[in-house]
Amino acid sequence: MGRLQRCCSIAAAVLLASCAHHPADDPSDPLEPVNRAMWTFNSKADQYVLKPAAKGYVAVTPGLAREGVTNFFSNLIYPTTIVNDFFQAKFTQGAADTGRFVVNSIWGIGGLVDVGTRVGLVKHDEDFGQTLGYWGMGEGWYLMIPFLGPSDNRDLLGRGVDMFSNPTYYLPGRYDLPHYLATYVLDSVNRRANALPSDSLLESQFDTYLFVRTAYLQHRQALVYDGNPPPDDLGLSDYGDDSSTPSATPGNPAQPPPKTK
Amino acid sequence: MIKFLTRPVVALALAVTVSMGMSAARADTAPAQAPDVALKTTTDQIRGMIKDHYAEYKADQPKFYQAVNDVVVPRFDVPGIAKLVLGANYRTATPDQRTRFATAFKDMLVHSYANAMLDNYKSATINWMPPRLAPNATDAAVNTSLSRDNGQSYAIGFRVHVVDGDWKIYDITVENVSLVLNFRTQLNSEIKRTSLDDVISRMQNGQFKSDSSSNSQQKAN
Repeated sequence: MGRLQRCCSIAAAVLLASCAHHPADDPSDPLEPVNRAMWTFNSKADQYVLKPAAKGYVAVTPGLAREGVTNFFSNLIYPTTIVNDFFQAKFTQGAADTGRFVVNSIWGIGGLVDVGTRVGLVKHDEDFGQTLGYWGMGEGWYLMIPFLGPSDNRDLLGRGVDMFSNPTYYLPGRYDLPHYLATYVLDSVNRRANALPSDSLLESQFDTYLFVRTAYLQHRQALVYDGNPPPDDLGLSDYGDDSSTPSATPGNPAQPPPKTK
Repeated sequence: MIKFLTRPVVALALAVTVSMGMSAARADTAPAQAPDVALKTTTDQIRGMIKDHYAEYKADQPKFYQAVNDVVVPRFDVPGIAKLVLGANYRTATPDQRTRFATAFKDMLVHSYANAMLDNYKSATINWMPPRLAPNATDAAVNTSLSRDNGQSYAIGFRVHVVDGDWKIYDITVENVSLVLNFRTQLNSEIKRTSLDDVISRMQNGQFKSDSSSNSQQKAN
């Protein structure tokens, strides 16, 4: 119960700070100096530890094996998506995702092969941070967390809650070193390996901290809306000047067609 | 920790590949043409050009930049993008600064993505989703999904509006991450720390990072 109470008090504090959604180009980032220090720390840790490990991993592991690792971890934590389907009252999607989890766990050999996608059970991405957003909670403060990367008040709370829908939480020996290595380190290195192609783009940004912040917040906002966020008006009306561009109607009525992916 | 970036970032390169592939089929096509048709026709056109001149472009980069400038850039509303990216700073900029900024920003994107364009033109296919348009709309969102031959796919969106009787792109979103918002955040922060002229010259020189880009202190020199 102590844990539950702690969660509740954190939740209350976060709620106070998270009432509204902020535009991604003007977010609430009162901890920016601390966050920037954390980002520098994370970048160094990446530069000296994670990235070399990921490169080595790519060098010695065949692509097919890496795909298997990616599939395995993605399937392992899929119950989080299922639980949050139901938290967001997406019952059909929840049923389909349950089927996908079963199919991949059994016929996909414990999740190594993504059979589900091949039989038309598309992968969804839900978590408790999205659930809170779905029911109207804003993201609150932007946060940069050591080792874990970008987050915000809402998603940090979501992360905590999602621990309980992650099956590895219920494994008895989850903090034993071999198990820990297998689940955490391999997962991290594999994720980093998947992100290697993005490094060159990070290098051509003016300010990587701001790049990551803007991208993260938009990415999360889009996930809350399952890929179809309301279009940002980009301040067209504010910045559009008089003469030359008769200018766009903000709040364009053309809604993108529903997307499944 | 930057797992979420993989898809957006790789796709951003591809998106610009594709979008810069929108050639200028603007001769006499007023928006009688649907925006997605305009984009698609011209995408096919630039891809054909790359296909025909691949080795040539690969060996002679300035020539490829020139081709992109001639064929692709006219599909973009460059002054409009500059205005959106500068945001509040647009009002205080002189006309000369606005022009120089727009050119420098456009060149920066062309130079940044030219190689990605050349390297990826074959591995990507685009699935165009028909936009729902109000009659006489002058603003539209064209959504596509871009599939690579490795099986990954990305949601790429184009925001277009009518300028001088033709559809022009004023923003690209990759997995819902907006190019305009991304650069607006970064450039306005840089302008605040230094100056618009400084940022323009850094764009021209390809020196994106200032000495202190990883912290919020003033530039060292």
